[in-house]
This record gives sequence, structure tokens and C-alpha cells, in this order.
Amino acid sequence: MNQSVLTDLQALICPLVVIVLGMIVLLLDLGTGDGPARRRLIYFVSLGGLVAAALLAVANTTIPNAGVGVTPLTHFGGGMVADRFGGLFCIVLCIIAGLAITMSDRYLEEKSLNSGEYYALILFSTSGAMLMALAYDLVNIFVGLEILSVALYILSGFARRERRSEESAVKYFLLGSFASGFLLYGMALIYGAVGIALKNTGLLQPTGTSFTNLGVIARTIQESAETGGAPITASPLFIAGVALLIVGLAFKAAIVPFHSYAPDVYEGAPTPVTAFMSAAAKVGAFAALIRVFGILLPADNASIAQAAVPFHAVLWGLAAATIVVGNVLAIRQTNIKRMLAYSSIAHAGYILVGVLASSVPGASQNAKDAVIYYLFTYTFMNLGAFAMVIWLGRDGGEYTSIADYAGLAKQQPLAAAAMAVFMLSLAGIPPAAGFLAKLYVFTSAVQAGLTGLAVLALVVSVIGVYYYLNIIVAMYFRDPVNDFSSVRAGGARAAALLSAAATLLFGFIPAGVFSPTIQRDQPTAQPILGAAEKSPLPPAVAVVSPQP
Amino acid sequence: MLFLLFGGSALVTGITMVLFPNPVRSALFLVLNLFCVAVLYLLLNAYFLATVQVIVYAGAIMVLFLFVIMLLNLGTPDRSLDKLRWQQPAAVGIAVVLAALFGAVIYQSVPAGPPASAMMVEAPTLYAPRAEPNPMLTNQISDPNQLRAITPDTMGTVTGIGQSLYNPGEAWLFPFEATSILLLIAVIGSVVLAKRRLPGEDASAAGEREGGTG
Repeated sequence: MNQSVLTDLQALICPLVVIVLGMIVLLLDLGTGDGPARRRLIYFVSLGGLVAAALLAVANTTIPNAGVGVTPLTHFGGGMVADRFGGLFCIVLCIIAGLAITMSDRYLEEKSLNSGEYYALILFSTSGAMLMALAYDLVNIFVGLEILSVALYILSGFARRERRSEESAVKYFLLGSFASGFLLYGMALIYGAVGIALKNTGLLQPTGTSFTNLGVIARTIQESAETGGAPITASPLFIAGVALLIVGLAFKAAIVPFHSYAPDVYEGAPTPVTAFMSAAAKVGAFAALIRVFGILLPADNASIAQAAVPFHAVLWGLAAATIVVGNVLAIRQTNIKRMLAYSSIAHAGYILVGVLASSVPGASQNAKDAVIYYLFTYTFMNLGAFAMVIWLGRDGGEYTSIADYAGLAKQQPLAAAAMAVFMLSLAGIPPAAGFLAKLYVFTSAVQAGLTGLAVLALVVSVIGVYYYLNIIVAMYFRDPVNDFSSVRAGGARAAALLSAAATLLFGFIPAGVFSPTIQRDQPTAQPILGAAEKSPLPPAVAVVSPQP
Repeated sequence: MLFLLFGGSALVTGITMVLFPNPVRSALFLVLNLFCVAVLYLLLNAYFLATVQVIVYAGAIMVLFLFVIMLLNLGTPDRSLDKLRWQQPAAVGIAVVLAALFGAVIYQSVPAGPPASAMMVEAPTLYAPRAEPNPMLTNQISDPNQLRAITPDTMGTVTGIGQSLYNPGEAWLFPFEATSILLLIAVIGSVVLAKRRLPGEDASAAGEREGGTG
């Protein structure tokens, strides 16, 4: 028994390290010295711990993954799974948290905010998103989501002397908990549908596993389709549950009908928090979306895929609406944080295209890798852009209007160049990594037969070029209105330059564990992500007794 | 029958709780609501859960709630602040449509209408009886999947809940432990957000804040 617990803990080492790190940071804040020395200690301990966590996650991604016909290696009673997919998401989350912490040091000092709780909350929030990516049970997904979002609610109100920060926290909290309610209700309906299906087919559930386990659900779907009669995917209860699940997760990812909180929250929250949540919440939500929809709407079985058709239409509509609304509304923004908020909505739309493609047989593998690669590059370009805002701010204030950045290139050529890299990358213009990310996602969409959606996304993303280039034009071709001659050094600059370098680097060398190209080099790695759908139930979890 | 009675009153008290503008009355209706839910737990054979619901939620937490409300002397909130008046009827309309949709879905899916009382009797049979002796008791645990703690005997009792919550072979240990992180976050949050003025905060900014929230 102890042996198995140790294996379980080892598999989840990355989120566990991050959680423990958060607790250590809290204790350090209590126990050690005072003033700047303590701040620096906490800062470097958090960063060092995140690097360690990322390295441990890298080790996890090389664990032989579940292949075709092999059951996924689940842990903690089947509730968690450690595979390459989850490991990659953990690495991306470590990078997000690392960049967000790097850019916060001077910001917190100038606003005289307490640093210990701040770093701890960022770390806890990160661990929540990691749990979502590693969860194999709807209950664990929900707990992970709550850890992620409750920490984010607090963080967005962290600058509690500012009215806008308070407003942002209250708005986010009210709407977010409402969305969590939808998610939970959806899970309850799915639980009921699975229970009824198991009872009807006479496949009674062995005690000790849950109806919310994704493996159990996948098995139920398959068996209910095989035993004839209506598959569970056609049951209204199940459909309603999945619909509510979409609502809950789409809220976190800021998909269009559920996006309206995003600009206000992003504008009001402290800028490093905005940077963090614009990436971390999306990564968590998309990881859960891909994992859940791979199971709930499996594409490899014809009779089940039939039932999934309406959901494909729904996701299609959501993706199209998100791309169009995000891009069109971003044009009119004059506040750079709001502009980036709408731009992040548009990017959520592009990612959703990839998620949709991943639910189509044949394209599934490439699409999943494309989504991970997109989130990876998005992390650098988006957090980099927010780091620029912090870097160029002064005395606790920030230049939030786009017009403020006029003439930046004359005074701070390096900063202007970095900002230009981020904008080009967000717009998807070739030398930067954002181009490759879009290319991969749209290619996988075409491969999945979603040509219409891919074309729409391409055309609308041209609109995006307008507002991104707007900033570049202001920086390079307008006369300066503000004095940028003395900008602060510190973490924000490091984060911005690091992200710019990464954005360029991954644009030129799209290699590394994240790249879809690696699949061609290592055919054995091929079934990694898709494996979970194949035969997800361990043999021990079988029929125990028929219905009396 | 009992299910309909208490389920219905849970619904009614829930709605009245939201509708009453006076926070004390809302809180009292919430107490009633929690009691009704406790009875629903009882009907599902979850004795321990029902007891805990009454003691912890309806008892301890709601008493604290009422204390806070009375200490802060909260009155009826001012409705004139509501600027988007058209939202209210629209929200009610959409809520009714949504409720009707879900009602239809659930009515359709619950198979062949076994009455609530019949469902209640059947509930334990969802958990199939085991032939072999409980591996927990005989100390012969080789495979975590063998750990099937809940039997019809222990279901709903403290033993059953404890065995399924704290057993590493069960699905519930991990979410249970993860929830402790969630509680830790909540504690940090209440300290961070509700703390009085920090040493570094200047008076003017704090004053603005007081003005904003008061």
C-alpha cells in the first residue's frame, strides 16, 4: 500500500512541489528578517522552486505513455493521470508562474503590497491549473478549477486600496462562482446519466470507483453503445450535462458569450496578476476541455460520434464568435490592458479551433500538439506584452493608454523592439513564434475538415494585424508624449526580454518537446495523447454483479 | 412522497431566501433550506452526512452568519443603485426558460418513473454485495483496486465515509486533500482582503477606499 502511495505521489510531483513551495513561501514571509532582504529571499525561492518543478515535470513527460490498447496510468484510485499531455501543460504553467513572479518584484514594492501572500497565491493558483491538467475525474477537475480561481479572485483584488482592483475582484468572484455552479451542475447531471446507464445495461458499478471518473464514463459510453439501444451520449441528461460543462469551462477560458467579465477584470487587476490569469486560467481550462471532450465525445466510434455532432456545431459557433468578437472589439480599445484582454479572447478562439480539431478522428494527435504549442508560445508573447506595461511604468503608476507609448523607439529602442516582437507574434507575422502556432492550429483544423472555420479565423486574424500594428506605428513613427528616459530596471525588464528572446527563438527553431515536428522523428511517441480514449478502464474495474 | 415534500420545500426556501431583501430573514430561510437538504440526505441513506449537515451547516455556520449580520447591523440594501432595470425581468424570463428545459430533460431521462420512495429502497443495491471478505479487515491488500470499502452495511455511516475518504486506493483521497489547499487559500484571502490598514498604506488612499465601500 505504501508503495502505491509513493508511486502516486511521484507521478504528481510537479503540482505537489508547487504547493509545498507556496507553503514554504508563506512561512518564509513569517519567519525571516524584514524588509528588502526578505522580499528578495522569497522572490528567489519561488523562482528556484518553479524551475525545479518544471524540471521534474520534464522528467515526467518522458515516462512511457499509455499507447494504443494500453490503459492510462492512473493514480489515487483512478482520479489522477500523469501522462505526457499533463506533463507538458505543467511545464507551460511553471513558465507562466515563473514569468509572472519575475515581473512582480518592483511592482509590489512600489505599490507597497505584501509579497509573501502574493507569491504563495500565485503558486497555489498554478498548482490548481496543474491539477486540472492532470485530473482524470470530474471531481478533481472541479477541485483544481476552484483552487485556480479562488486564488485568482483574491489576487485580482490584491491591490485593495484601488477601487478598480476591488471592482475587478468582486466582478470576477460573482461571475466566476456562478460559472462554477454551472460546471458543478453539469457534472452532477453526467453523474446521474452514467449511473442510470450503468443500471439500465445491468453493468453495475463496482464499489470504490466513482461515476465521475473519466475512465468509467468512457467505458460506460462504449458499452452502452455496444449493447444496442441508445448510447448514453444520446441521453438528454448527458447532453445537458456536457452543455453545462462547456459553459463552466468556457467561462474560465473567456470564450465569447461568457467573455464579458474579461476586459473589466483584466483592466482592474494588478498588471502582473492580469498577465498571470490571462494565461494560467486559459491553460487550465483548455487542458480540462481537451481531456474531457476526448472522453465524453469520442470521435472514433461511429454511433457515438453521431451524438457528438451537435456539440461540434456548438464548439464551431463558439470558436467563430470568439474570434470575430475578440478581434473586432479589440480595434476600438485605447487602453492597452483592455486591448490585450480582447486580444486574449481572440486567441482563446484560435485555440478553441484546435480543441475542436482534436475531437475529429485522424487529426486528433496533431491538433492536441498544436494546441499545446499555441499555449506555449502564447504564454511568452502575452506575458511579455504585460511585462512591457510594468517595465515602462513609473512610481507605481502605469501608462495604460496606447497613445502613451508614442515615440518609445526614440527613447528606449530596446523596449520598443521587444514590444514590436510581441505585437508581431500576437498578430501572427512570420519571424515570430505566434506565426508557427497559428500555422499549426489552422493546419490541423484543415486536416480535420474544418476548412471553413480555418478560413474564417485566417481572414479575421488579419483584422488583428491592424490593432497590433497600431502600437508599433505609435512607438516608431509618432512623436513622444511621455518621458521614458528613465525606466525602472528589475524583474519586469528581465521577464520582457526573456519572453522576447523566447518568442523569436521558437519562431526560428520550432523544436523542443512542444513541437508537433517531434512526432515525425519519434513514431513511438505518436499515440501518447490520444491513448486515453482507447481503452481507458483498468481490467480490475469490471462488472461485479448483475442487477438483481 | 417524502422526497417530493422536502425537495419541494428545499426549492421554495431557496427561492424565498434569494427574494427576501432582509438579510436576517434570508439567513433564516437558508437554515430551513439546509434542514430540508439534510432530510434529502437521510432519504439517500447518508445518515452521517445528514447529521453533519445539521450540526455544522445549519448549526454552527449559520449561527456565525447571523451573528455577523447582526453585528454589522446590515439593513435592507438600497435598490436605487440598480442601474440596469431591464435586466431583472429579462433574467427572470431566461431563468424560467432554463428551468423548464432542465425540468424536461430530467423528466425525460429518469427512466420509467419509479416513485421517489422506490428509488430510495433501491439505492443500496447500486453497491453490489461482495462475496470475498473485506480486504481492509483481513489485511491482504495487494492491489489498490481491491480496496472496496463501501458495503451496504457501512454505507452512509462514519466507517464507510472514513474508509472511502482516507483510503489511498479510493478515488476520494486526492480531492479531499486538495480541498485543504482550497481552504488554505480561503484563509489567506480573508486575511489579505479583510486586514485593516497595512503599515505601508497611506491614509489618503485608505480614506478613498472607505468612501468607496461605505
